[in-house]
Amino acid sequence: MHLIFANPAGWFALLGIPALVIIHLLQRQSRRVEISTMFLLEKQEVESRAGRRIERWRSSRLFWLQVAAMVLLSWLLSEPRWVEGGTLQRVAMVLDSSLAMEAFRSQTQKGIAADSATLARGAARTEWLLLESDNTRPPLYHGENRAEMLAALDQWRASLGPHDPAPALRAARVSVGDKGLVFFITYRPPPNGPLPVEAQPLAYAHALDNVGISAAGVELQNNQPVWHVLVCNQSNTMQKRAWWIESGPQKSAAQTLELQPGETLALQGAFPPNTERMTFALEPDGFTLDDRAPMVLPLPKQLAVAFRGPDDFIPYVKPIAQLIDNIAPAAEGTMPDLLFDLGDDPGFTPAAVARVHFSEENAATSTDDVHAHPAPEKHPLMDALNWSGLLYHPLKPLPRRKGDTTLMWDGVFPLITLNEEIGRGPTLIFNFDPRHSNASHLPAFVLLVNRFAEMARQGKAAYERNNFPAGLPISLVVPRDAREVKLEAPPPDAPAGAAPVAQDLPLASAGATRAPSPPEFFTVTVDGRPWVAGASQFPDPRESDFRDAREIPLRASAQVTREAAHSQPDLLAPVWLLALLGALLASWRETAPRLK
Amino acid sequence: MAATPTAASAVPPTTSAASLFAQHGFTREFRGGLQALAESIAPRLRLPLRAARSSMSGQWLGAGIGASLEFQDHRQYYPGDDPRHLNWAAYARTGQHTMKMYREEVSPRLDVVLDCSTSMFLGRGKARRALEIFAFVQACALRAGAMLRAYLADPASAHALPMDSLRSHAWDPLPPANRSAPPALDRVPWRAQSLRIIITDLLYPVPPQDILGHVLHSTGRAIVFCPWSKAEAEPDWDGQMELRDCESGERRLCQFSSARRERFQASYRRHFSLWDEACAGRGVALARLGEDGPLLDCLMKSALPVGAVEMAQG
Repeated sequence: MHLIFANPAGWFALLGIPALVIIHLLQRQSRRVEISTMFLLEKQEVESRAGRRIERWRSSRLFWLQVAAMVLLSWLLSEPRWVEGGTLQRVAMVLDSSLAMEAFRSQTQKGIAADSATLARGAARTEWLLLESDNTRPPLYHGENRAEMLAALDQWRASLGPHDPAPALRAARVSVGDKGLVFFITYRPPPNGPLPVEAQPLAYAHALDNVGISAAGVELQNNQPVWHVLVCNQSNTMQKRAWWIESGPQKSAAQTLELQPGETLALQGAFPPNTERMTFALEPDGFTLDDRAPMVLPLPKQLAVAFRGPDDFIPYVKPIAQLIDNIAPAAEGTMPDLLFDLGDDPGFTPAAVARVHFSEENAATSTDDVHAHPAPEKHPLMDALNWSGLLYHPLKPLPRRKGDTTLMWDGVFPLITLNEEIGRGPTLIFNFDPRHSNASHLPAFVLLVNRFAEMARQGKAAYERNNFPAGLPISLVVPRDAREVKLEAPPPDAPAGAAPVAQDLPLASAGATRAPSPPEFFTVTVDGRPWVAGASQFPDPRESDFRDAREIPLRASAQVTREAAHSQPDLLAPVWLLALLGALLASWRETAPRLK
Repeated sequence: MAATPTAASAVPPTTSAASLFAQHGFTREFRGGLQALAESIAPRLRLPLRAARSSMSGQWLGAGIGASLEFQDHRQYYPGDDPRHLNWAAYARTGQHTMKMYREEVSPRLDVVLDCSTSMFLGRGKARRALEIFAFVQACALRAGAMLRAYLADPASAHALPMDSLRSHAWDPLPPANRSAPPALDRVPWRAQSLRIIITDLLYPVPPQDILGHVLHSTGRAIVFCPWSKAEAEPDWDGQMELRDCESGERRLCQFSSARRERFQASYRRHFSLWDEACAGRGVALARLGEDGPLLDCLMKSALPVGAVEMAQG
């Protein structure tokens, strides 16, 4: 059994003792009296002859009564509790995986070390659970060894942009139970009010004046690659920063930016020739993750497109297909990546092909009816598309098949369907003939086809060179017969431009591979062949705004609520209270004659 | 009247009794008023002068056998007795030589010493009481026709007061002695068989026996009148006090609480109980007279019970 203090701030009452000393020192102005009985006093109080300070304090009963009252008051205010032997408490710490946490990495480690020591006193044994708010990752530590938990904390890296920590907090609550403590380790007050599942925020941060790269990319302008960058001053003061371009060993002359509070400045320039890589660099400040933007010259996967249908269909659909980026006609005798076809029966799509199928209207199925106002479903492919102007001739409903997802309804029948049957290629089915509709005049139609084509491009197993947000999935698709997949990137703690280190990726989860963090160039190889040449970039400018970052200390009140289950209050508290009252009364009695 | 102060170089100069006299307003006129007050009390209370005698016949009946006309007793004749006092009539009746004894008529001697240490005059009430007693003694002596000699004493010396100065109150206290010590009673030329009246507050760290030994020198009888004040017996010291001895000038810082005050009061009481015991053992009447109330009431209450004064006859 050992002692803890539920309200350690109560000990601040001891500061009253120096105040008492000062008050008594100020009262040292002695009353002067001329007497005739000094020799009697001499017999009685020899020790105070010199009026020595220690003796004065020692002989001042009033002073010692007041000191005793202060000590008792501090004791009572600090709410001592006795922790019983054998008790177990469960504490979960959910680390905010936001990249912004990297700005306060060392402070957070020290803060957790100190606060976990405080929390450990709440019970005889403590079971620690260290999680990330990125709930796709496994727990960092689970056990009763605090040192091991702190060691696991050293290995932790924040890698996400803005995200919702609630799922991870709920998982933590489930793990520690109702009586456990759940802390969310972050860098600012929770923006959406109190945290769920009675989780308590903890932060070891402070406001920073940050200037960083909000966005970076490469575009073709007049067939020439041009880099463009947005630099934002996320502070309340005017800031100056130097910037330059790095391309391999070459480095441009530094130039200076001057940004007013909150100002965003757009910069662009020609991509360096004869290279696929460049880095836009800002002079480092308190948060360095957004001070460098590595960029590669994008080379998307190319889609081989083929068309199948009546003669008047191909001229109709070809202009629509040509709006898709980076496509090429499929070679004769080869399987296309994207097939546009028109016919009565959608049939089945081969596995490596994505198909856009339109139903054909012929004499048997032709009708003079014109339908409008179809009802779209909620689906990523249909997001924010306006189909209100679509006019079409209704055709016979198609039979439903395995893997069908209806994207739009014509009354009770599917009008547009997405089929994703396992083992087959995705198929976007339009159950109307586009030649007898106004679909080609609707942006929604063109956008839907484009989105589907991009989906097909993502699903294609081919070499790709692109820029990716750090910490987010890169949609890696490897060949079915791949045996070895490796990610090559500089280690997280390495300085900029450090040599990459290869890391094996499990084949089963290769599709969930994320762009490495911190931002840097990386390469994915499949069986030794280059498969992805990428640059990870700081994902979200919201993660670089530290104006509302601040420290949130461990709330003792929240702690004791939980500690009540593991400890007992001091049973002598009423005695100490009576003693305090007694000391106050006695000191009043000492003071009363003087006041008279 | 001049006295050489005993220098205490390390301590600051002390307050003199003379300055206290001036501070309290004890002018000659004031002291004349006290004398008048004392003379009004003398008809009701008097000093026990019967034990004090002189070689000269006086108007007081002595305690011993004398030559007055007042018969006192008979006793058996012993060889050497004055044959003039043989009771021949008794011899005729009984055949025994019997002596007739008459009371002695005396003119008592009275030596009064006023302690002039600063402590005697520190508080006005106590100082006034001391002067009242001094005046009372004078008044009693005057009324009884006693042979009075008055002295002012300090720790260093004793100065005889001329009678004309005494009567005209034209005397001043002695200069400060700068030390806390008893009055120099050994310097007083006590007359044999005189009644010695000492007016002192007894506030000095000397065993009572040493003082009383000087007082009772040369077969005398002594009465000690001890004025005291409530301020010295029950001081209101509390908290941090800087105490200064009125005689030696010594300063001392003390922290006082109620318990410490009580310890001081116990020490004060113990000091005077020692004096009470010592005086009782030597037949010296010790009357402690407080500063409160009229002198008559104070004498009746505190001096009469211990025999320091007695009711005047008639």
